[in-house]
Amino acid sequence: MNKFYLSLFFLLFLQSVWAQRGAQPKQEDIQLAQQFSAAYEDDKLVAIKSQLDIVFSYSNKDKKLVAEERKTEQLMCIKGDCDHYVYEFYDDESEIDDIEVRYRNGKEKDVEAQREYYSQNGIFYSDARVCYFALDFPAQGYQYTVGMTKKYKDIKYFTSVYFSETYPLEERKITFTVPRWAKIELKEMNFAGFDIKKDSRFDTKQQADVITYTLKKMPGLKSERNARGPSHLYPHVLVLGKEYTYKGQKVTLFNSTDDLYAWYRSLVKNVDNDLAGLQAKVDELTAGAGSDEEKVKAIYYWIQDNIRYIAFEDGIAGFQPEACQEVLKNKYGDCKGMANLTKQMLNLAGFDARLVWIGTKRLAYDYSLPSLAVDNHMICSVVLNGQRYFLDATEEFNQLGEYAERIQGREVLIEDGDSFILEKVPVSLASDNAMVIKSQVRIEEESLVGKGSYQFNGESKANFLYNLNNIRSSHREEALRYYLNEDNKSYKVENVESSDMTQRDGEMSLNYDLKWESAVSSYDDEIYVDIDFSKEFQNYTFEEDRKQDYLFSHKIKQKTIVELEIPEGYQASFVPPNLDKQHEDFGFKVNFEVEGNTLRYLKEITVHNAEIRREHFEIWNAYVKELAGSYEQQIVLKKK
Amino acid sequence: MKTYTFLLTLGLLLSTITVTLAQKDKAGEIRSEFWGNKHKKYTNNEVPEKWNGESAVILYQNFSYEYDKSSGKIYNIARYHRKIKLQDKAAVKEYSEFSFTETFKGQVGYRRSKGKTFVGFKIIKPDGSEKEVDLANAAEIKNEDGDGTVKKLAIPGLQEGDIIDYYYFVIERFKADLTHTFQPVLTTLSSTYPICYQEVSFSVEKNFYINFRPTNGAPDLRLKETGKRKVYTVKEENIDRYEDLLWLYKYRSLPTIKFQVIYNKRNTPVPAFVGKNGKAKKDVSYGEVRQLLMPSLNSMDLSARSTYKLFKKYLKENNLNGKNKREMVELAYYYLYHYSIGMEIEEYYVSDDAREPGYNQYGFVSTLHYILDMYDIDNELIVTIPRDIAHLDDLLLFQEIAVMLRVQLGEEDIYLSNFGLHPRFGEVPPDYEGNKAYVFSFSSSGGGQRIATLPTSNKDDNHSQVQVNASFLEGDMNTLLVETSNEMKGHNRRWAQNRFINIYDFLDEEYEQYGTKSFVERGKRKKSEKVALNQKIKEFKERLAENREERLKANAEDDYKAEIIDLKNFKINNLGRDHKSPNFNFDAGFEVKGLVKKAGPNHIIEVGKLISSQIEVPEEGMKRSQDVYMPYARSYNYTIQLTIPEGYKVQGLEKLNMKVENTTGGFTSAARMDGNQLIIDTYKYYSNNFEPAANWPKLIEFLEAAYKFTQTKVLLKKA
Repeated sequence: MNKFYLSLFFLLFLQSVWAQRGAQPKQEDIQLAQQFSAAYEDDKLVAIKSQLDIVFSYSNKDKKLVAEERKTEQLMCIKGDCDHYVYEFYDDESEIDDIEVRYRNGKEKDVEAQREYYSQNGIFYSDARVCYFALDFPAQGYQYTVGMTKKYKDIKYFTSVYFSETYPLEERKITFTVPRWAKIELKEMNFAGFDIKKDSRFDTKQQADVITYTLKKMPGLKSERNARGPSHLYPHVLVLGKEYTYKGQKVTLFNSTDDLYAWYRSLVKNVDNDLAGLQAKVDELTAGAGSDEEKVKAIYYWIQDNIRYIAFEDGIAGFQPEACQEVLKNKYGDCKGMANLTKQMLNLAGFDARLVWIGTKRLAYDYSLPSLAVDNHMICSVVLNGQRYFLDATEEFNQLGEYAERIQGREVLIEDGDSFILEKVPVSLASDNAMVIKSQVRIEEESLVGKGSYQFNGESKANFLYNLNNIRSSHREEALRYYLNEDNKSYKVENVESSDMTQRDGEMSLNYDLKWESAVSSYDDEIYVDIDFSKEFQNYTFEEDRKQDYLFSHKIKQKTIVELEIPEGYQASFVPPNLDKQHEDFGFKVNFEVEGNTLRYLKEITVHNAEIRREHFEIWNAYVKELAGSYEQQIVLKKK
Repeated sequence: MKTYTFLLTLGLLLSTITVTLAQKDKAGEIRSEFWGNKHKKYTNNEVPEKWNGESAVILYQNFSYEYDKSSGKIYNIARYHRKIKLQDKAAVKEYSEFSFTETFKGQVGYRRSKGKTFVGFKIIKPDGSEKEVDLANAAEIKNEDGDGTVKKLAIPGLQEGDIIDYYYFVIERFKADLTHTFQPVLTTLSSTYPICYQEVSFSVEKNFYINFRPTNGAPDLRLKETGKRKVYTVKEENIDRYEDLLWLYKYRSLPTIKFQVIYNKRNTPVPAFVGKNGKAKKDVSYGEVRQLLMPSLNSMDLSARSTYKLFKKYLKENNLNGKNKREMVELAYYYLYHYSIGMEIEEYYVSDDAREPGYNQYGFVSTLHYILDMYDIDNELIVTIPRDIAHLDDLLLFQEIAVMLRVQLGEEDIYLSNFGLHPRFGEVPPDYEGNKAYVFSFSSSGGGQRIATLPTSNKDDNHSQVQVNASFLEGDMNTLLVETSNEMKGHNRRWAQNRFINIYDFLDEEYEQYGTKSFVERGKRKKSEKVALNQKIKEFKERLAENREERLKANAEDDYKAEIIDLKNFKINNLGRDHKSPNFNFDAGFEVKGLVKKAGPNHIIEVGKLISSQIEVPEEGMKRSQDVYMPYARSYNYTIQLTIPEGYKVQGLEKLNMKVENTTGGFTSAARMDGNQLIIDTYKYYSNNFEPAANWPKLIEFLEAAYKFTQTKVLLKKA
């Protein structure tokens, strides 16, 4: 080896050793880490200091208002050691640059950031990418300072700044530098309950307002199952870029919802819909339809059945619907493509159908805010017999006039030429989703034997049909049996008959013969009967440490009715006490009745708004415990 | 300078054009090859009536592999062609999206490889019209740093009732010298969809060798020679879909093929059984096994030698010389375990870059053989195949082989097999029990074929004895305190050891026994490093303890099918990691809610559930045509002792008496009162590790009885 190279190698080697040596935590760092470790039990890492500087400026190159976000954080490992991934998402409208990592002693650490396509569950293709690298903190108290810059190429797509991270922030400063020539509103969301201070000053040198938010002790984001979307939960600001006047040129961005709609409208106008190929299909579908309602259903249901939902989120295609003929030809589309096809086909059939923008329940916003963050979905509306209906073809088994929980009550932006209409999607009642499980049984030896049935309505029906139709037909019979007997060998189900499983309209039902082999125990002259097979919600209590409200997929109304034939010569000597616990958001009712030789068991469980609020967990848990107590009781029949 | 740049650019441009054109040609050529298939099974679009209710039916599929060598590189082409009728929504969904790596860089052994994938998709509508999918619509996944490009394609226009016809053509090339052994394949012919027709073929030129063997009724290869090439094909029609079943060894029961391709020039030794040029190899003889294994096992091994030296030192330092032959084998076996696993395991878990400790089976055999030889202890090599893979008579692949050592000690044959975390001197692993095995002597290179049948453990060897004491919590008639004491023998101990023992239960004792130190103490480390490591170990220990609690809880929930409120008094009485004290013995207690039902003043107790959950054979599993391969013969004895609270009387004892026994096994139970104690004894056993399918109804008899017992309740009647 050449001498020069050798010495170079040696030099590099030494430098890295020095860098490492100075990087070891000092005694006071270790002490600090120990304090944090006690304060943040479930976390391994804390940002001791974090700085987020957002500067808006004009890009002469792109002739656009742009933004740059520089993040600098001092990260400390507070447990024994930890591996941490630093990551940041970006897409076609943004980029990540100037990544810099330093040891505690200020020496720079080499990192090789990976940039990858970010694949999300349920999304076929998007322009989302992730830039990441791993940092190894070998000891408690070990630190790095990490910096990176994210550049937004168009302020339109820079909609929000979230204040928290997945790890706790001991202190964070966020500054927005807004030049006076731009009108940008910062809308504060979910600040309540957090230590956030705001300060504004005018920077004469930059001729800009500098708004500073200072956060202290911000806990790390913890995701919980069945919780609300992040925009409901975490402190953030919505960045509302309204307008700017640069070098005498005034440019309106989204000053009001009118501007937002105008932009959406311009995208829709640019869609190259070719209706020629649609007419034949529309004629074919509506040929046998007697009424207008039947025509709408024929088209809506055909799209639900035949157009597969595939999500694309790729740049402008994330906002502009695909042409209807393409969706029809491909037999797939995203929500916008499906809504557009629905609209065009209904138009051809002679209906007033329109595109509808909507933010699902996951979003905390409505159309009072002119921002692209407000909506995340598109559906279609149609006026039928003077009444407006909303059609969401991505919901495969929704009946006309029934709406998925995720869009109910949500504000919608309906196209109306150059203007728009704001309305709300109707809200259904828990009873619209009623599921009724009924059985008529008699005692045969140690079993309950008889007939059973299920009736589904609304979303309980749509969900059931969706799940069943996604099971291979060769396994459907078995799956139905498993659904009915909950994979419990002692509950035998035979001769299952179902209503048409592809039918959305009306009620859906299952009828079957049942034999529940371990429900009855006889001792001398007494028979003990376990009356309720499914015992729904038996252990459905919330843990004390759950922080967020709990959301169900839909409003629940579930009725269980069992009619037990009392054997001849016997009478009911004991029935468990009735139960009736009702709260404004939920309720549990259990009722026993003896009439002649029939003992009737009725149970009704209701969740009115598809959610249990955290402040109601305690009362919910108490009710569930009472319900479980009722499940633990048996009926006693005694020889007369 | 300017001219130079220009020329360079032009040159680049030209070469790009050439490459693109060549690519297009190749793609077109491949496309016509697949779509132009004239095979009458391929042109068929009809599904046999019996499969109308299926989700999807594979009408035609053809996997073919082609191997070539030219200018120092191996070209490996795989063709997958499938035509499948989608008969429901679920199938449409499954086949509506595809992804493929258009170009890729890989690793073959220690060589870098490069490859390309060509694909084609076609939809055939029920009216017979065909539409090819435009690949220009495939979305490229933007992997800025990735090796190669991945594309995703959504199939347009796909509906229920359509046929999708598609192919993948994957070409990979890499440098090879004298030899290359391709990954072997072991597969059943059936799939999760029924198949009308399928073909698997290999096309090779000179110096490529093929191993192929069909088992369980799978058809054999047919050879066709075209010029220098040889094409081997296996065809099968009308194959039903396969379902996973309890105790099914699919490679033993369903038509299966296995194969491997080897490139070999000038008879270079390779880790494979190599046949004759131009003829597919079908079987492997005793002599071939010896020829493949013995030279390398026998060759002087530096690492074995250094291990032997350490062992010698250990014996000397601990005054263990002069032991008898049996004791020496034991010492060597356990020392080897400690040296390769016990000493390294903590570092493996705690440190980020430690290798997984332990030997592979050949390293184990050769090292132990070397040591035993140094002490003049005769030992032999035992070769078999794990039961779930194949019978020894069907041996074809080097990868199928399992090896052990055998030492004769007096009248007794001691089998020594490679160990995991819990070694067991003299135990034959359940996968090898009762198997046919080849026996080879290390010392003589010739001699006739020696065959052994490996010993099989019986139901008493693999026995669990569980004492369950149950009582009501004071003042709470809803919750039972269930205290168990468990003693597990033989193979029954294995799963429990793996679940409930953690390394800190034995490590300190091991270090002391062998005079070794933990990895933190062993290495030279700075103080700060040591502090950091110790902190890490502390956290790891806490995590292990938490995990054990979680596992105990989950296990109990599964056992009693009830809610576990609390864990109590977990205690290991004997680790069972030493063959001289072989049983794993532990206590565990639980507060269990949900086994007691109220009925007015009385209580019903689901006492049957206290023998832990039993196998539930579902409706559709009652009939069976496949043989039953179980892990080993075994037995379980539960003694339940339930304390009846004062003021209550037990009714329904008679329901707890059961007796079902036949040649395959049995379940018996008997209940009695002793003062205020309800005592139930149950015994369940499986006589064998294998039952022919015809015996399934007999197994069902006692499995059902045991299940029924779990559903049995007694009444506590208020006096």
